[in-house]
Amino acid sequence: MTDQNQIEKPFLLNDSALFDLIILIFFLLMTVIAFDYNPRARSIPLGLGIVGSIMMFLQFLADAMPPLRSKLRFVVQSGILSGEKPDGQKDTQKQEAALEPPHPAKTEKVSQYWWQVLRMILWLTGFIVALSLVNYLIAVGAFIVLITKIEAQEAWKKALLLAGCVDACFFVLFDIILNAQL
Amino acid sequence: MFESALPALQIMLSWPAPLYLLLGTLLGMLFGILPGLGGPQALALLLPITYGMDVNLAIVLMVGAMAAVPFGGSIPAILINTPGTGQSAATTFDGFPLTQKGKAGMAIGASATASCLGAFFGAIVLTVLLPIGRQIVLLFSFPEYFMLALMGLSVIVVVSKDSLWKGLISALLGLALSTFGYDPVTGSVRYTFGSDYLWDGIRLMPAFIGLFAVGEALELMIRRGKIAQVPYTGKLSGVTDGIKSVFQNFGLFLRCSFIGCIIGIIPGVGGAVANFLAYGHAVQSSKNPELFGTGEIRGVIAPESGNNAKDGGALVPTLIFGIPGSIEMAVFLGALIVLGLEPGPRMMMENPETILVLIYILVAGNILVSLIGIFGAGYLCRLTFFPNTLLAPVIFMLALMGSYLTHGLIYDVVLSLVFGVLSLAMKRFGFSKLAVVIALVLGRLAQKTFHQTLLLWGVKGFFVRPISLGLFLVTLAMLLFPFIRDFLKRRQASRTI
Repeated sequence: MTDQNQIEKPFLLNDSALFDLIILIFFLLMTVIAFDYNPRARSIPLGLGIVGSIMMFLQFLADAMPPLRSKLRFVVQSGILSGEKPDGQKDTQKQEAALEPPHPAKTEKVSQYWWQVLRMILWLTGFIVALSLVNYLIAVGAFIVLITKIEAQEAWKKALLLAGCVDACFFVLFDIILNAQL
Repeated sequence: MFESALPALQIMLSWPAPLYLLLGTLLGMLFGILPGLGGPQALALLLPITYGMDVNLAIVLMVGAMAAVPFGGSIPAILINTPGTGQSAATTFDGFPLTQKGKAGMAIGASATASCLGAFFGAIVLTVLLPIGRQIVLLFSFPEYFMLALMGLSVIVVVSKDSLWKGLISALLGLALSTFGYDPVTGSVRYTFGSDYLWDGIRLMPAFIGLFAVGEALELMIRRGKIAQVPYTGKLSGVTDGIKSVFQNFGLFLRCSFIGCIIGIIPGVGGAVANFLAYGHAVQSSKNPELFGTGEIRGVIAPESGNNAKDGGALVPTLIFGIPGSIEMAVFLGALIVLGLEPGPRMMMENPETILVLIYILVAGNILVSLIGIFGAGYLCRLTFFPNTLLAPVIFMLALMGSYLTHGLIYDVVLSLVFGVLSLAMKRFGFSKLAVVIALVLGRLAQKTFHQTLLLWGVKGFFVRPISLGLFLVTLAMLLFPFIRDFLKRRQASRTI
């Protein structure tokens, strides 16, 4: 029942459609900004922006509006060349699968996945901030210890050993061999 | 020049030259393996060491390092989907899927053999072309550069595996990103959003590190488990099969080595282009293009042979004209000048032995690094059986510090992170990362040479020069060939029914 309702929804802003929207905004911005440049400088980015916006808009429609997917077959079909099997027959199963909307049972897993990605981005952002504030050896060591202990849930001993090894390698390579002023 | 062949061989074999070759090769391999570091950094490091050293020994050390970098870069590309250098990016497309299938040994064996033989091919071409290289270099101008870029971009149509539509969107995204920064033709500064950092456009190395290393490490961290999806047996198999596969695909190897050489000869085109063009050629000329990207050994042989043959070609303009075709060659050229040599036509007359030592070392360095790779493959492949949760933090650090080290800019690290997240999202939603990379590499070359051709010759400039027209027709044929083949197959099938 839930599956049926989900499939029949005319508009579905899932993660795929959201990504399409972000890229669509990028292409639209590119198109608008291109008008600020002189005609020769604008020609290529403007062309790319317009074509990209149109193609991405159709992709967005196909991903966000499941009923439209059958009408926009050219958007969701497998590749013209690589959808072929070695004997020249089309991989119809794959193409049919592409026409189906995403399975709703995956919704919970999807949010869990993006939560994990967000956590990793925050870890890496933290590392970049630390790298700009303190010595790189401290930033690298702290990052490895914390991420190995907290995210990977490994033992303290393992985390400290890994961080120590990486720091030692970096010190030998960057400070002693390369004499890089980091 | 050829009467100096034996004395040059004697120089190369006399002690301590073999020791210097080993040291140079090990250093080059290390710099190749580490993302963000590569030939220019290795040479820059060796430059002060070689000052005051015997010229031939200095060349042994430096060329040994230069020769080892490309294969060094391919090792992490195959094992952890992280190209050590930009030139090894295309090796990830089939090298890493082979590792996931538990065939890392086969991929490394094929990569080492193709690298070694590719370098040998490049060295032969260099030896033959040195006397006539000047004419060849002068045959290439803006229209030919543009057509080469177009040929590379045409690969996108074939490599867009799951959805051609998404492949084309990815290519547009890559091309759009390549328009960022200072436009050398019009002088305009585009899409910098007020940041000085973007004046140079999207820097390729941090972008590659993000797309491959950071994206992959994010995926590993989330997926958990291990890279190799087969149980660890304790022994590495398939290395011999990998070596054999190069000989079984010798035609492909020769064609890709030739492509690499030509790209190397043309100044300013770059190693990454050779890598992608060779890979693209392998896909387009294959009877089963759908196998590429899933762990096809020809997808390793092609970029590796092109990548290593390129070095021999790149030395042609460097030695004949004193024009460096890449940053690596620029540093090498500087080193030669510091050593008291004068690259150019006179060098061939005055220092034939030195040139031959250089060619021999190019081959010997590649043989040595390939042997180290093949015999050390067992140890290297154990990496892929490590838990992802321990491997991913190390990859993050290697990648981000490599990105930081290139220019010492924190923005490079931020760029790598942005591209890493983009890579993860693109993979999840079926967009082609490969298309973005190809378009990003070739986009700048294409748009610059497009405008330059229009300014100098107009539209007809693309079609009146024989090489440019030839390249255009080859591109057209490569694009149409799969459609024609498909049409003929269908007609044949309908006749049978």
